[in-house]
Amino acid sequence: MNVRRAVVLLALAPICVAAAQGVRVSGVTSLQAVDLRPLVADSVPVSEATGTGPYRVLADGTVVRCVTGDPWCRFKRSGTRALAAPALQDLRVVVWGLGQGISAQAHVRARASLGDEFDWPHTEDAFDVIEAWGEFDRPAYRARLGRQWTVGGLGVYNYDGASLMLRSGRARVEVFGGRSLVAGLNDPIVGSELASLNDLPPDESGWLIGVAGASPLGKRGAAGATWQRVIRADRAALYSDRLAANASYLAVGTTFDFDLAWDITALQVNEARLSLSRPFSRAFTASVEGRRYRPFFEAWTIWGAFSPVAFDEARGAVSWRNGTGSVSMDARGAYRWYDETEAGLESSPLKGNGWRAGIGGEWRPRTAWLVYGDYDTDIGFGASKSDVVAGTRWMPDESRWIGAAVSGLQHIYEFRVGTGRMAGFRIEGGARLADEVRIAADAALYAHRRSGGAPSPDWSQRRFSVRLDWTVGRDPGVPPVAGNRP
Amino acid sequence: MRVAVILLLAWIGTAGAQDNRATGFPHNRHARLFPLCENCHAGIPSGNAATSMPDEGLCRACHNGTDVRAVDWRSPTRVQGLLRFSHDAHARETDSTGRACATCHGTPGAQRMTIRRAEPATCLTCHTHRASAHLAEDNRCSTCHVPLTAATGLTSERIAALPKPASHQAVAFASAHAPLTQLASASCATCHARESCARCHVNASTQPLIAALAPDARVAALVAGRSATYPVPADHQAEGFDRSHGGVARASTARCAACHARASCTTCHVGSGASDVLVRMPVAGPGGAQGVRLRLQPIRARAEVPALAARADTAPKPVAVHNANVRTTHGAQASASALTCEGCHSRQFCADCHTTEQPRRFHGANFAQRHSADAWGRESSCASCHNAELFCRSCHRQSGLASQGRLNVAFHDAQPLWLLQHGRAARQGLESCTTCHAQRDCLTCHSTLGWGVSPHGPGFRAERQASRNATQCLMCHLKVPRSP
Repeated sequence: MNVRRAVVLLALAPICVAAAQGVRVSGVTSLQAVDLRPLVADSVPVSEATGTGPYRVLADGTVVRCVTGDPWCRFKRSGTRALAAPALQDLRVVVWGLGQGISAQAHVRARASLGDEFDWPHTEDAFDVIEAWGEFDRPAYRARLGRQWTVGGLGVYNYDGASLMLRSGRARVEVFGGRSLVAGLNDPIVGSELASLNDLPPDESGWLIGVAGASPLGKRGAAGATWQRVIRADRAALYSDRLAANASYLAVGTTFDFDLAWDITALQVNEARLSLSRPFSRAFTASVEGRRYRPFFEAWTIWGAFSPVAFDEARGAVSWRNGTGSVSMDARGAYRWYDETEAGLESSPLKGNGWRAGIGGEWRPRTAWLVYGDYDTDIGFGASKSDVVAGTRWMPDESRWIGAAVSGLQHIYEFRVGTGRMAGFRIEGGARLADEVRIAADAALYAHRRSGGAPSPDWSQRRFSVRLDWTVGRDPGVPPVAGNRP
Repeated sequence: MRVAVILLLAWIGTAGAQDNRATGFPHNRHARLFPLCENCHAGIPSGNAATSMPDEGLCRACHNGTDVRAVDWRSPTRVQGLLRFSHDAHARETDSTGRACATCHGTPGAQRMTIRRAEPATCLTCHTHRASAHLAEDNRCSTCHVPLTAATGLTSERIAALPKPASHQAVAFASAHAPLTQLASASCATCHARESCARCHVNASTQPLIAALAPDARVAALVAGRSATYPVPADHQAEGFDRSHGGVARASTARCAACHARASCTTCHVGSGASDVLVRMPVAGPGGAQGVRLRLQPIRARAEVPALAARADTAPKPVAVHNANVRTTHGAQASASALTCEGCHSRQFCADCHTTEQPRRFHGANFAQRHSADAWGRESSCASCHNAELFCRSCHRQSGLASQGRLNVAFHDAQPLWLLQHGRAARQGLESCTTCHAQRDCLTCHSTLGWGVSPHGPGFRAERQASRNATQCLMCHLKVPRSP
């Protein structure tokens, strides 16, 4: 978002506000501070490394690479501490009553990196318009114009364009289109942000077109579908062409949820998921899920041509709570297995499956107190971990709370990156300063001990974050008491 | 013998005491003095209130302290009780049928002037054509009773001790007791005042039948501090009610408002989707019924930062709309509109998570260190909120983890035979690869201009891919390839 557009937006805002019947303005200010030690390249004389061949070991166990003819063996180690301190300021403005059914909404975000050297991702984009649109809303239809979101089975995309939704009861059909923005980035495909990190950035912007619809299935369910295509601006190619179908149905006490995301270009399923969840009593609930997942890549990258394979996964979870709700426990687990990759050598196998399991519980000895604990382990391809956390929280009323937690983490295997153990302690708290002003903050200490000689940043660090959110005004037609959650 | 005399005297004394308790006057001791009831209660048959009770002077004629011990008896002040009863009308009827006062006030089998209060059962000996029993549900209380608010002679204790009809004890009664007619409402008014209803009903002031009841300070004192009772109606317990209650609420908001204040709805509905119903719901005022008070049950409290309510509304009844793993599985329900998200959530609720930086905390503490296993296993879809090209690689690069063009320093190459494994690893976890590696890292080998090693799998549809996006092919190939 360039400065000119920001100025135009800010100039238009007072005009809209002056003409509106009502205005709601909310803001979120958040600040994080993290000190960490990024990896830096280092080297030692060959004589200090033991062993032979390209990979040798230093006295402290660090693995180094020694190339024939080079008098130095090279490796990476943690450098000096760097402070990453991203600051975000979100501002949302909703104005309505500009005419019957006419309203406008804007959500802008300012970013700054207050730390030294280490810039938190995305903070170089100092000002961003998350959304900004005008709307004409009547019972049978709704039209929007501006920067807006499309949210559906294919995820969340925003674009600069227009949308028209037709409604009949709970059924709806929406057509939308406009200049496509990169998902999760709020930046045009040919924007500077993507180019700054991508060595082969796309050379043409894209246009998004799509249709989405949803309809109830009786009183017990609903189904929806979305088709969405992103076309290169020169119409020479497609960046993506996808279809999603979703359904949810309640029958025999069981909720059936179904998702399907289909890549029309590659004729491949990106994700298919069927989930069944059923409460067997007020105390006991169980769910099972099967899913198939294959990553999707926009066609302005080469990644899709690398034939990523899918994995299938079976998941299950059970939860129990006592009659008063003061004690609850749950257990979950999953097992996944990958399709044959047709790559690599049989003599050099790679793990082709993974599993995870976890158990957790909560206990409320009194209304104001919560004691909780969780243990999870995830043994998989690429990375594995074992993770435990336990803590307590005191919430004397709904306007303030404070908590503390201890945690432990073991990275078991991670392609030899980051193997080690970590212990942490964290305190957190929040308070409602006024009806519509809330603050929350936390601070944590972590101690990291690496092992295995693999390169990894020293994650021993201090962390702090604070968040302040406030609202002035209210939603149209809703009295001020509404709004106890964002 | 001595014991028998004592017991006899005790029985006599007890009988007299019973008469005293019932009427405040030992009628049976005076039976010989007053052969006719009208000697003392002349005004009752005639309807003359002034002479319906004897004057104190009549007592003092004998109880003067000389002839007989003095007594301090005062003619009772007539107060209005619950009975809607006309002695003179009944006296005329009695006269015409030959019945005497003892029909209602006499004690069967006892000597004359063993007086008792009239029993409801006695009334029903004549009025049975309208009721199966005194407290029966089909009774019309107002036939014999005045409204409680008119019974000014009743004390709070008497009101609290009023008998409770059996029908009121039923579980379903509390959720389906609304009187259907004004006539039935009059029966309610026999024992209840406006405060009786206002204790639970949030919309008491706007309900005609409740508003028709007069207020009563005694009832107000009795219900003050007593918590409201809100049984769960049968339809609320039906499967899927949480999804379908919107239609019910729109069609009959007044029914909801009987037990729910607006705060009940806004516990969940903070978006604009239900605003048309919300504006029709009553707001609980101070001192009035608060309605069913709900507290949103954290999906998994231990994993989330508690949401601070915008106002104090302690809620004894937890409600859970979503299941425990909704944070990662809500796509189907949201996309299919099975749950109308905007009915409960404002739009910013979605954007808080799905706009990269996440002002709302989605991940647990220290996720930056813990995320690798989740990311490799795709426990949740990173790409639904993050742009891997920018967000992940930016951080990995600054941390020194990402590849920066030199492949000979760290990480995978410290493992024997990584080169032979990496193809399989890439196909299994390509998304994770892209968080450290740029495209040119791979093109060094996997391109026509590089070593010419094909990265395509056996199922790769080159022609189809080229027909959709030939420019993608040209990033590696000198010309658009065709399938063999």
